[in-house]
Amino acid sequence: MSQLRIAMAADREAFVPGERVCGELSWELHPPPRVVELSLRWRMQGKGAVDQQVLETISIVDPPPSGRRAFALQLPQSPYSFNGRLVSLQWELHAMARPSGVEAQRRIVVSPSRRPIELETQDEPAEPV
Amino acid sequence: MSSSIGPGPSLQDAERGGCFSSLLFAMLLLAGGVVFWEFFLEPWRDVLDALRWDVTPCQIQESAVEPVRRGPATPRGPAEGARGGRPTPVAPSAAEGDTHRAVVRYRYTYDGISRVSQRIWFIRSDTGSYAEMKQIVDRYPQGSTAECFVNPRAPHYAVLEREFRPVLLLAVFPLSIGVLGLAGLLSNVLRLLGPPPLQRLAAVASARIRPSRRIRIAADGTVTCRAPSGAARAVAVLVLALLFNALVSFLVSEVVDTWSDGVPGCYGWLLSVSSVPFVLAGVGLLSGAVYMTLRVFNPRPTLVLSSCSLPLGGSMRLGWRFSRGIAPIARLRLVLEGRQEATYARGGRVLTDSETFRTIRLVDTSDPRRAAQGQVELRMPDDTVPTLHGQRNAIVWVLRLCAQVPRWPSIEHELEILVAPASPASPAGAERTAQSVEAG
Repeated sequence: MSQLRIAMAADREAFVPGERVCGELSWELHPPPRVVELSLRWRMQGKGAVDQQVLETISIVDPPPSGRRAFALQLPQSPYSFNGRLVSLQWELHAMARPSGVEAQRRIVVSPSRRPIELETQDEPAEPV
Repeated sequence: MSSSIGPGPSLQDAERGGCFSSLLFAMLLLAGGVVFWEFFLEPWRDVLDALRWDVTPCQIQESAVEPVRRGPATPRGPAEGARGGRPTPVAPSAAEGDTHRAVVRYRYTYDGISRVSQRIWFIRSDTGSYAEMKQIVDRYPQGSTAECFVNPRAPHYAVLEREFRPVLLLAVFPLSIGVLGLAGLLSNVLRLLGPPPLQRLAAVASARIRPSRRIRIAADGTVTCRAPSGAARAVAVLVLALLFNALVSFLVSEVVDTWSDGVPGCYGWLLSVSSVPFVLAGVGLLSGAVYMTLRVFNPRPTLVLSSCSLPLGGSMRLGWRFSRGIAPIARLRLVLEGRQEATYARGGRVLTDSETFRTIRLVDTSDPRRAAQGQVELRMPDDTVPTLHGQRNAIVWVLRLCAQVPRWPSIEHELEILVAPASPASPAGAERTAQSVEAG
């Protein structure tokens, strides 16, 4: 059975902006793929619409039918992972083998607190002028 | 390695949609076009064309007021008190409230051929109350001579009066309905031919603080933003309101006429009911114009920011001042709002939903002197998210100023500011670096 797997170093799934995301991509694919790609991307999901940006992609051309490859991808300073009523943003690692289309993904969190920021309604009082 | 930005795949082309709206626009175009073509095109053309028609002497052979009988058509008999050599009709029908018709028949000679016409103006509006019809026939006493205007290309077509009449302005209604339908149809067609709506949003989504007529950015990064006076918009709405209401006044006078002789018939009721939306729209436009005109005389705010962008956990100075206005500021509120915005297509339209997730109240004062001008330190919390503009969704931070002037429209002004991620040098950034090392 064909499969792709993304393993994170030390099983970490939360990072601060600017950190490096390290891990290992392993695969067992029949027939052997022409290319296996691993991308670091974020997706901002709104009301019925998605914005996405691919930050970095690693391509492994003509790989053997099975194998593994360590990766280290650099996170930018922003955006942060957040959840809101109208808009949410998730970071993820996405792997895909072509042409079979077998894929795998691993969601990660990127924020200074290593937790998704909740966009809850907050009202802060005025300071004296 | 590569990097790309773009919309995700979740939105379907079907969202361009708009079949229903296309049908609606087509119906508007058809309705407006047919009414304009049927009732107004020829009179308009004739009024313009008649300026070049030949002025020809004519003799009034008949000038009378006839009652228009309801019910089965009856052969046209002699007008009451009008025929038989008397110069003008003098006796109204038994009931003066009945509708009457002005009958003016005149003979003229053109190209050596004698012709007869009964046309007074381009539109046969020669029915109305007895008094109105009498006014018309009084201008053309039987047996008198007058001048008529003959179409040289169709000499059988002549009129006694060729001047422009305000009733022609009613053509604006079918014309505007037709233009609205045409514009809607064209818009739908262009949307289908052009890029999908969400690609166009890229331009909208890239809004940032940029120098403009109202926003100046000094060399040291200080941003000065003066609120627009709104004068141009107020003038535009005022002109539109005056034009619209001038047109509606003809409609209203027509409605008043139909009621002047008592409860009107089917035509009068139909006209009265159909004029209600136009009258309401006219009142709404005038109210809007008055409101916007009053706002022009408000004090005008100017915001001054000490820098173009504000990092999370950082701070900037925010100053404000007002120009002289109609009255001093009674209350000033200044807040920084974080908003999440989702833009999506539905039914061929592009909609944006917005929700405020963070409100940082900076100033709230009812002291007129403090409200008139001042400065405050704006400290940005570090537990939130920076500005992010996607093609469809966004996180925006907006400075919102709201000032109240007694017994006058309030002042509203907004300025988007760019909130940047925390810099590594900031306390939040330092903490993050430490965490990063520890985690590594």
